[in-house]
Amino acid sequence: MTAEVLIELIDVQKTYGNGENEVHALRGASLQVRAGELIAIMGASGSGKSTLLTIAGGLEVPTSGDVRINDHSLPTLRQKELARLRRQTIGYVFQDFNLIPSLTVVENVALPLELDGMNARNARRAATDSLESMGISDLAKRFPDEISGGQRQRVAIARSFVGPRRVLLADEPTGALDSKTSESVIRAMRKRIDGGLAGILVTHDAKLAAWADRILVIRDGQIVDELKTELRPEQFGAN
Amino acid sequence: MSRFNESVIAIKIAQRSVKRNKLQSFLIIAIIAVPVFLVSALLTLDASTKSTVSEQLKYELGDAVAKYEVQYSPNKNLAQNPDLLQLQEIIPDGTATRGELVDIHQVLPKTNLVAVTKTDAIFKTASGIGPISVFLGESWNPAFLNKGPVTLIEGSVPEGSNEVLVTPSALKRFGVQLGETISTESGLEFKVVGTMRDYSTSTSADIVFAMDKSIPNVSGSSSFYYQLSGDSPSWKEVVKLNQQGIAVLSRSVLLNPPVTEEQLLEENSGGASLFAIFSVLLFLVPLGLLPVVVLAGSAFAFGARRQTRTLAVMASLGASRNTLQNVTVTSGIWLGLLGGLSGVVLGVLLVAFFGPSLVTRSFAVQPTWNQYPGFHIPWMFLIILVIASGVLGAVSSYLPARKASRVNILATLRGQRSEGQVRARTGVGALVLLLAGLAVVIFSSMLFTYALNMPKEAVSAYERADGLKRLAVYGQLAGGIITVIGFMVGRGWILRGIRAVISRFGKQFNFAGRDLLFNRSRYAPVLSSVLVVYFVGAMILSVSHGPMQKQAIENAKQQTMLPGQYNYMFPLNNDGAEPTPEKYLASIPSLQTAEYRKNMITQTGAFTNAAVITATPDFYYGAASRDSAGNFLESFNFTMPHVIFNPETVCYSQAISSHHEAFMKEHADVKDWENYINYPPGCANIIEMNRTIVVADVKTLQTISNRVDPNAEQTLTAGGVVVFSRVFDFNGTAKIRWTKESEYSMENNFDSSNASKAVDLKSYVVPGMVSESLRYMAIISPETAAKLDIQAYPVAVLANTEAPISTEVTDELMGKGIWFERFTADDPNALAWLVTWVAGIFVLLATSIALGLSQIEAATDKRTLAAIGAPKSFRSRMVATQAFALTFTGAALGGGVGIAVGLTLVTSASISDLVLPWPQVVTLLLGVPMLAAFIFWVFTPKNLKYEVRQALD
Ligand SMILES: Nc1ncnc2c1ncn2[C@@H]1O[C@H](COP(=O)(O)OP(=O)(O)O)[C@@H](O)[C@H]1O
Ligand SMILES: [Mg+2]
Repeated sequence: MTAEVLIELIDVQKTYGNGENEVHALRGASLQVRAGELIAIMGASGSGKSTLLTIAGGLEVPTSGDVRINDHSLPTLRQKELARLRRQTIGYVFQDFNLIPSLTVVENVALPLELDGMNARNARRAATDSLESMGISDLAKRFPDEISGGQRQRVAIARSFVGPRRVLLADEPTGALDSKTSESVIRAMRKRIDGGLAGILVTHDAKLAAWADRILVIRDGQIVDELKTELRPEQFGAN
Repeated sequence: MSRFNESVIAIKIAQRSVKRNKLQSFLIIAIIAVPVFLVSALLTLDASTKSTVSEQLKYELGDAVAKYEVQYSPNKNLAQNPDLLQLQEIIPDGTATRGELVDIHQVLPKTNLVAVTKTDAIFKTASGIGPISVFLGESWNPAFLNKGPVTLIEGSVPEGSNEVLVTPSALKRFGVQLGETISTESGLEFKVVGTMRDYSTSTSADIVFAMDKSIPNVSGSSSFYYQLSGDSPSWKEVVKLNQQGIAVLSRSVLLNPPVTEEQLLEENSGGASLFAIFSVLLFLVPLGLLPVVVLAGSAFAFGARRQTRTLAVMASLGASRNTLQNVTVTSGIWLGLLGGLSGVVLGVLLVAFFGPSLVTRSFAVQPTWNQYPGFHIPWMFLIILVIASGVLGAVSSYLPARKASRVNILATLRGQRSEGQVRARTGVGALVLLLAGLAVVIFSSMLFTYALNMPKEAVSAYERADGLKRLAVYGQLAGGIITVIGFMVGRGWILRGIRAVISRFGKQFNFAGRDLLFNRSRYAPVLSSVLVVYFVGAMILSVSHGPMQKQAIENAKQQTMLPGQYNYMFPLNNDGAEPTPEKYLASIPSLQTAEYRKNMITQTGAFTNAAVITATPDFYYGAASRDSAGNFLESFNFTMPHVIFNPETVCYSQAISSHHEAFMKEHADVKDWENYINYPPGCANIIEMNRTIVVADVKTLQTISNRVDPNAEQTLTAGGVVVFSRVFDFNGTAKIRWTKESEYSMENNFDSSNASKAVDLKSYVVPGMVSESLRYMAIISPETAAKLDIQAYPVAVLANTEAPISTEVTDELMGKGIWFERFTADDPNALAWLVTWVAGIFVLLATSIALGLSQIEAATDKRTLAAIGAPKSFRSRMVATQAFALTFTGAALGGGVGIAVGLTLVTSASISDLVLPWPQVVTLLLGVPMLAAFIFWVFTPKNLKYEVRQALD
């Protein structure tokens, strides 16, 4: 039995600017990601990786083509519905963390739930769980500028899959981290995805990409190759 | 998601960002707190200058149950307000007199009354002699002492009629210690047994408190009678006593005031002042609100921009636009409330500590209880003010919030700026607004001139003219505001201009200019704030430094002394009886001529010059009603030509009369007014004060007007008349009219129609009046007087000083037999400096805060500059240049418009000329920007640590 498709891009095109400045960031990219599946996207700088991810995350609108997240066609959604989808369904991890400096770690993680109307105590409990699963529950009461870069990114990931999320999108989440930290971050991501999420990981690092079920290679805005990775159980450890 | 939840998050984030960005939040709070501080200090001061019933009871009555004063002869028409010891006529017809007054002991035979009489006596002082207030009677009665009306400061109360208490300032003026003796000029001696403070006077008042009858009573004194026991009179009894001519302040009436319909009387000039207050408010509210809104608005623009990254993160997490907007507005409300609260607390504290000094404008002098009955906090107003600050926060952060809620998430997260080009459209808009503002000011000024000169045959024409004038004044104000808004709209272009100018001065200036233009939205609020604050400040300065104050100080520099032949200034004999002129002249023969006194004055060296004033006798004016032989002289009137020719001026002077409307309705036909030349209703004050004509040569003219004016002198010698106010001049002509005393008398019902003679003379108005010029409103030369057969007599000696003179000097001169009418006045220069200080501090605070905010925003750029090796001098020069350029440009433009509007307001509304306080203007225009530049130059940090721009704001 195949799992349901949670992320689907159908012939997505994206151009920036016009006239002489026109840039074709995506030239007809299509992909599907099912529940429990993590795909990695690799490619040279400027090839359109981030553009693809932001379109999948509803942060950017495609010039043409369709994007379906959890059976919603994003281009047809109104601003409000898109916002709801972002706070209920999609978890997004930025390369540069994007934590809110005035909120503590646990408050940052609880924010999407609170924005969705959950009461503060429940949201905090869920956030603590999420932090625990990232192994950083002891940082809960600190402010973002009081912890290290690796810790910040783990907070950002904890935030991205707090609550009943279905889709996890990460744009070079380990770009600022050393390899040991990177591995623990990706391990945590993989674990969540195995629990039934669909995930896209943009990365330069082949070692990290190996954690994915499939690797898509993108060049000049087109997906040019797809590599299947073999599951190597020891990589998932006893977790 | 629920609204509640949304607000909880919004408040949390807002609260946190206030806490975590302390300096920036502090500056935003301060920018709101500064105007709120001013407003709440004013409100608290206003409340503290109004007495409560219990304070009125305490200070007016102490433990007494009632206070009485006999003010008029019995008259059915007399009445009072329950809380005011002042009789008025219910239907004002001027029939109330001070003829036969009742004896209060006969009206209230069973009541035990303590009398306190307030009068004057001449005492020997440390430097000479001087008139000093004397309160006769038991002012220190246990019912008053330390109970409110008076407080014993030192020593004990008098036990015999040769013992007195004095105020501390009188003690100084006498130059004695407690236990020593003071004496009157006539030789009565008193031992000073203590010092006492009387709360009905300020602490600068010199008072001697003595027992009843210990000093001969002088006419013109007033007596208060205190009832210490028994029942205080009811309102019914008060009404009855009023008709006996007695005013009453009754404890029971004050505690239980009668129902309003019984309060028949208007408060003193209540109707007129209410309108005045209202129209002043109409002026000041938009004027005061403008800087508050602009300052707060720019503060919130900073605040909202500071939050854009937080908002973008939230948006990426799926926060709706509503939530984002709520976060910004909530933090606006939060900062507004904090700013409002701290402003209110500071304002209240200012009044708590300096309230009395603010009232007297002096640290040394404490006010009377009436001026400052106690520290009162106007809770209602202050709470409203704090709430209003919150609302202001909400309103002025709404627009930035809308903008912020529509953030381009990705662009913001990438740290992209979304700064547009200076749009041509704003340039056109600004130009249109500037031209419109200018046109409105010009049109309004023309409208005012038209209203002033429009023909007014009927009453309705006056009403229309008044309406037009008011409209014109508002128009001038609105024109100024439109112009300032024009500058604000065109601020992008102004920044371009600044850049173009300062980039000529070198590399770092070029960089400073580029930064100004590139980060326009960072610096534009600074410019707007400075513009508006200077606009309001300059306008207030140019209006407040008006001709009236100038005149007051000029008045205070002219001191007059009456020549020897007037009996009413004679000191009294020891028995209190008036000496005869013969007796007085015999005792001091050398003082009998004005010329002699003038010589004495000039010898003192206390004055720059002096002249004998020779004038026509004034029929009503007591000083000149008799000659040295005691005969009435022929009466001369100098007619104000406006009474006949210029109805507008009548209206002007009638503005002071409450009967204006009634009179206008009765005498709708202007021609009718000629019958009132000698006593035109509503003009009574002016006519009575301005009746004499001075006969003077050129030198005397110079002394009287305290200046050299070739035009005036030429008019005088050519047989014309020099007048000191435009109200006496009509198209270059003034009319002199005089009346034969023999035909202008009681027997003829003071009918002047047959007694008057009149002649028109070419006239010249000396601008800028001084005190004596109002009294001797016209000057003709001795030759002209001879030609017209007008006789003049010495009526006074006039002396000019450099500055108002102190009691020490007057006492000394009086000790030498030179008696003065001593004028005092607030120094208008001091007032202008006060305004300058307040405006300067406000401007400096406002610009420093706005600049500080912009510099915090610019910190990352400064760090980058430091990282690539820009030395401190480069950075400090850059910041100082920006501070100066922004402040100076804002000051020049805003201040320029403010002064222009102030000028047109004053010149079109006033009959006098305007004098601009240049030193103060220059200080504000150059000093404040230089100080701002200096502050930012000094506070540029030496070492800036380079920080990687992180994803934290
Ligand atoms: N906001 C934008 N405006 C214009 N061009 C853009 C924008 N964002 C991305 N691009 C261009 O689109 C292309 C793909 O960019 P991106 O998706 O960020 O690449 P990657 O993440 O693979 O390095 C690049 O050529 C980039 O310059
Ligand atoms: Mg990228």
